[in-house]
Parts: sequence; structure tokens; C-alpha cells
Amino acid sequence: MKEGLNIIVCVKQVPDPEGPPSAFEVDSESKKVIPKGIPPVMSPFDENALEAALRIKDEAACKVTVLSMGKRLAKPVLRKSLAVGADELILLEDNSFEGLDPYWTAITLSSAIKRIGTYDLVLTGRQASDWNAAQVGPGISEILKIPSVTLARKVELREDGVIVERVLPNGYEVIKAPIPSLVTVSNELGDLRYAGIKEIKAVQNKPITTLCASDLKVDLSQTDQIKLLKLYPPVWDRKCNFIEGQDAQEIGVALALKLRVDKVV
Amino acid sequence: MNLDKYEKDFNHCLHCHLCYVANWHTIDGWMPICPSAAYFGFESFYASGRIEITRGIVEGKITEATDRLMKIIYSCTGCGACREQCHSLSGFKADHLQLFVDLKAKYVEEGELIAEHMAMIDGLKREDNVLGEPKEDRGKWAEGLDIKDINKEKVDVIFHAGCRLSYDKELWPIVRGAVTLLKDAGVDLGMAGAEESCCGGRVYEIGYLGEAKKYAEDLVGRVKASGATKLITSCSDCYDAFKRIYPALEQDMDVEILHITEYINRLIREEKIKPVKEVPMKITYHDPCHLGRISGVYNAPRSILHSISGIELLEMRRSKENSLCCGAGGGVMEAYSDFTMWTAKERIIEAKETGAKAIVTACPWCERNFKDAIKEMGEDFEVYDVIELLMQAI
Ligand code: SF4
Ligand code: SF4
Repeated sequence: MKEGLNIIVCVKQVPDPEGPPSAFEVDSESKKVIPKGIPPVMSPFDENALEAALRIKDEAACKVTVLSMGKRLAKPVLRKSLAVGADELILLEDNSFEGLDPYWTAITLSSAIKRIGTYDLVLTGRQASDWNAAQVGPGISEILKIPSVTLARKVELREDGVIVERVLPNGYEVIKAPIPSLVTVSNELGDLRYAGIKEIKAVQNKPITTLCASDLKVDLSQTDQIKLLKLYPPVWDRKCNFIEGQDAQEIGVALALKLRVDKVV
Repeated sequence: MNLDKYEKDFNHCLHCHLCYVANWHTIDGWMPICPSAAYFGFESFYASGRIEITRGIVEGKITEATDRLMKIIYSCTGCGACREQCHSLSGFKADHLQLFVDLKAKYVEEGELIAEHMAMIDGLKREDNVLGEPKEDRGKWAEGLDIKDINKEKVDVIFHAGCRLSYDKELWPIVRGAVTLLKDAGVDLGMAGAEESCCGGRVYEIGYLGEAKKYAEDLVGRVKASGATKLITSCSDCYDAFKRIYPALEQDMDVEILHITEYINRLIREEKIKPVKEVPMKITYHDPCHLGRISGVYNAPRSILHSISGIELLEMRRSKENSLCCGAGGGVMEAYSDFTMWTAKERIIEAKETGAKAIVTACPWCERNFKDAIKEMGEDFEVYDVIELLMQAI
């Protein structure tokens, strides 16, 4: 494995997807999902991407930079990336970063990556757990004009390229891409390693870099091409029918007929 | 978390600071009762200070979650002493405990998290317990006791051990003793073993309401499926979670919820458990906050102690409603261990002043905390759970 490489991992802050359904209140008026009683977390697939970077770092000295963007980011949550072993945390924070669509998110992240300058591998999760769009990773690769490989279950960085095991419905394929490339990582790669209290506390005062829209020279004045028209929770209509009959056999037959009539079987 | 609902309450806090001291009529003296106020000193660490901070947030005057602000908010043990005092003596009507939890929940939702609590939550998500211990070891405390598995069999009574008692080996005699007593009394008893999860009470108290609800839903589903009529626990925190916190999370169970001391006391009255041996010992009883002041269970543990011949129960000046917290609750033990230790030592000093040779309690968190404090103090003083003493009398 090649030494001294630079890996950039893009991490999105999302409301904890493991919260109970009642923790996600849909406000149809403002077309927003309002999380209740749950903390923000790093999107789980992005955690997989960070783990992929750390596994590369375990094998050969390299620098892992974590990049996150949003209107107001939760520093204790994102600092966890430093606690597990990332070297640098760069936060892109600006009011104008709120609710950007995948296209403008990819533009903003790409500007930051260009500003960082040297990179050999860019990693993202396969999709974010809030909107599940799966657009930002490939979008960044288009803007940076580098190849991308999606759905990685293993990522290896060599002198002459990046070797990716890519998840398929019935197995996986092995792909070799040049350096630099972008890889989106899937959960099959494995969970992010655990940070204990000692590690979390050790990075509490580690400096982090914060950049705003003007630092990145991105023009976000025309970001309203995609409009969310309606946001509503699905309505479930439940009906409970009792099947009558003299005995179990009669009830069973009646149930089978009812299921046939209702086109369930 | 929207704190605006408390807007009308702020002016009802008179800053009289009666919530800082134990009821001076009952105890005939002036003794602090809010551990956080007593330890940190500044009013911001009093209940009234936290109410004022909430006002500052609602009025938009406090916008930044500084380390100091986090420390003030998170160093409340949730002992409920302020609520008890304030509601009986002063005019603040809102529920202090709920307000302080909502205040924490606001910061949890914003991701302003305490490192120690983040680690605890990670451990909980992985292993379903607040100590981060392996899930598969959860039922080990009951090895060899032949307790029914509620995942496979119907039972009348479910015994919930809780996280601390499941993993703190030194405390296993408490739970092993409890289930042995129940079985010998003919109770149809079962437990969930390795499938038992955290009750969610501790994480509720540190403001992770969603996480707490997940565990509440899981437990309520399990209890309903078991067909049991009673849910028993030896942990005061779990008991309070089932009785008070679950309804707040809209999780109700159609079973009788009893702390082990309530159930055992009932069985002693019914003469199904008979303490026969003498246990000559001078003791004092520490009311765990979640069992005593918050749930109102003062008599059952004392009644069990009175049923053991030879026991001389000496009350501390601060007891029952006026009891001083052991310092372990509300996520404080995890985040500010020095403060927790200080509080536990204060309590041990008070316990010793009664002339007792041991402090007896009915909560594993208090017992663990007292054991650690006594060790640090280098004192020759014993700590028991009510059940441990009762076992000596059987
Ligand atoms: S006793 Fe009640 S009214 Fe008085 S300071 Fe405390 S919280 Fe405020
Ligand atoms: S709950 Fe206990 S620690 Fe918290 S403010 Fe009230 S008395 Fe103090």
C-alpha cells in the first residue's frame, strides 16, 4: 500500500435514523422533517466511508481529512471522526448551506476539495440516511472530473490505483480505478470503529477548520432549481375483519376465500 | 425541544432558594439538599439557576452552548429534592424534573453532547445496556437458579434486573437473593435473560428521549407478549422509569409494577416469606431518590427492615422526603465523577453520625456509589441492599 496519500471523507450530519418513528415529525406546512428527542449523528453510510479510510490508514501512513457541510453543525458529533482516527476536520458552515439539493451540495463540497488541493481518494457514503438520494458522491466526481466507483464493500489503495470490491445483488465485482478517484461506500464494508470516552475527550479541544460560502467562492444565488412540492407522512388505512365460522376448518376455508377475493393470494 | 411552554412559569420562581435546603421544620436545622447547589455553590447550579437559564434560552439571551453552560445543565442529578421543597413551600408550579430533562433534550437535539454521554449512548446502541458490557452476558447473574425464560414460557411475574445489577458482579447477591426469595415463596417467576434490555430511564434523564422511547417500546412489547400480571425490579431507576417515565413517553403496561421491596414486604405480610434469624446490627436506611422522593415508596423497605429481629434502624437527619441524593443519578456519575464522589461521601459521613455500622439502600446505583466512596475514604463501614440483609435473616 502506498504511503503518504491524502484521503478526503465527506460526512453528512443527519438526525439519528435509529430513533423511533415518533421522533420524526413531518411538518407539511414548512415541508420539513423535525426531529424530536434524537441527536444528530454522522450518516451511517458515511461512517462506513470513514471506516474505509481508517482501514487504509491502518495499513499505510496517510492523512484522513473529514469534510462536512451544513447551516449549523454539531461539533461534538463530528469531532467523533477525530476520536476514531481522522487527522483533520473541516466544517463548511454557512446559512446558505441549509437544505441544498444534491447538485449544489456536490458543487460546494467539490469547491472545498479543490481548496484542499491534494487528494488521492475521495470517499462518501453510498447515500445519506435522511433523503437517500445517492447523488452527491457521483456528483462530486463529475465536477472534479475524476472516476467514481459506487457501493464499495472493500477499498484498497495501492501505488498505481484504488482497488474496490463493489457490491452486486448476487455477489461483488472487483474494480481498479486510477488515483485520484471517488468511491461511495456501502454498509457491507463494516461499522465505524468505536471511540471510547478517552478518545472522545482527547479530541475535545483539537482545532477544527471552519469555512463559509465566501471562503469557497461558491455562488449559491440560484439554488432553487429543484422544488419540494409536497411532504407528508404516508397514511395507513387499517381494517380489521373477523372471519366467522363453526369450527377451525370452516374459518380456514372462509379466510382462504376472503384472501383470494381481496387478491392477497 | 420547544421550551416556550415554560414561559409562564419563569416568573413564579421567586429565587427564594428554599429548594436548596431540606425542610427545616422536619429536621430542625439548615442542611443543604440539592447536591449540585451544595457542591458548586453558584446559583446557576441551583434549580432556580437552571430555571433562569431556561428563561434566557426562551428569551433568546442565551444562544451559545458553552462548556460552562453544559456543565451547569448536566450536573443536576435529577434527585427531585428541589421539586419536593418548592412545590410544598413555594409557588413554582411546573415539574422541575421534566423541565431539566427538556432542557437537556434541547441540547441533545442540537448535537451539543457531553463526551461521556456520547460514549454511553454508543455503548447502549451496541450492547443494549448503559455500561457498554457484552449483551450476551446480561443474564449471567442468574446462572444455576433455574428461572423461567419469558421469551419461551408464560409467567405470572417478570423480574427485570436492570443494567447495573446485570453486570456488577459484586452486587449479584442482591438479585440472586431476590429471585431465590420469590421462587421459594411460590411465585411463578420469569426473566428475559440475555434478551433483557436497558429500561431507557437513564438515557431519558440525560435528554435522549428518542433513545429512551425505543427501549420503552421494546420492553412494553415484551411484557405484553409475556402475559404476566406483575413486573418486579430491584433497581430504583428502572422502577421509576416504568412508573413515571414510560407514561411520559406514552408507553403504558397493563401490569402491576412493583419494586422488589414492595413485593417482598407484601409476601412477608402474607407470611410467605419468614425472616426467622436474628441479625444484630445498627443500620441506617438511605432512600434512593427514584424510589423514595420521586415514587413515594418510603415504608416498604423500612417495613422489611423492621421485620428482621436484631436490626436497629437509625434514621439520618435527612431522610424520606428530605433524603440527600447519593450523587449517581441523571448521568452525573458518568460525566462528573468527582462531584458524584463528593456527594456520596457527604452521605456516608451523615450515615456514620447516626451511630450505625452500615448504610442500607434499595438501589444498585446508590450501593455501587457508596461502596466506591467508602473505599476512597478508607472507612470501615458496610453497605447493604435491603434484600441482602433479609437473606441473612432467612
Ligand atoms: S424553591 Fe422554587 S421558587 Fe424558590 S428558588 Fe427554588 S425553584 Fe425557585
Ligand atoms: S433535581 Fe436535585 S440536583 Fe437537580 S436541581 Fe433539583 S435538587 Fe438540585
